[in-house]
Amino acid sequence: MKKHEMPIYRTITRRRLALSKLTREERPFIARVHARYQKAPEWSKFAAWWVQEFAKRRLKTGGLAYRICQDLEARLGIAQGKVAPPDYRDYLADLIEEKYGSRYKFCKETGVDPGHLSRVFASRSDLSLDALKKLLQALGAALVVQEDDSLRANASLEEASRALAGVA
Amino acid sequence: MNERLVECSFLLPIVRDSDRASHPPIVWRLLQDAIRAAFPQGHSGPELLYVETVPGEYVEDATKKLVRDESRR
Repeated sequence: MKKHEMPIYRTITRRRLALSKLTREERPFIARVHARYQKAPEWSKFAAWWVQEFAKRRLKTGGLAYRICQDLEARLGIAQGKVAPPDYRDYLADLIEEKYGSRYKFCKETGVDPGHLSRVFASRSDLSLDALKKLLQALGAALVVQEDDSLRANASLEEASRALAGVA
Repeated sequence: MNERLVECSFLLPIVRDSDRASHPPIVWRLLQDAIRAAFPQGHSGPELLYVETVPGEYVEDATKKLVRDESRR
């Protein structure tokens, strides 16, 4: 890696976030969040803390820093057994966000029922295999079977720490 | 001028009713997004509480039937 090259942060669903796109205001915030995260705080305490810090600094919800904090929070929850590892909903939501920007736009352009998609994401409904395949086709993705161990490795605490080490 | 503030808090089970499994990350993400949208002036929490289970009941959306269960208050 070049001396000043900013690494890529990969979320638990393997979404690639370019840390070079962090704003000048977000960068010191992420450095502070990372320092706290490295102490492996209790999941809900970390969740409460970063949201307060985020609000104090008047950062933008939906920005890169917000998404990274949500991912760090999920990693802590998974490591502490309070949150399940990501399931297909997590992957789907991230793909939609990445490729369409919003669920609204995705549903409008693909004809997917937004109400049903909301129920799926809230775990109140499931997608049939055929319906899932159709959605994945629209997103340019495919269904693969992975071992639990490799899914857990994607959500490890250390992976995120390594990626954030250069942010200051 | 003294502004009157109303505190609103709610409890969420960290496991599902159906199979007692933890929620996947997307559920917590969407909740956080919704809370921020509903309360743009800010909120506090979450806070993990361990309390005795108490009997409770709710109407299930899909069947409109009353379901009785044990909850953490």
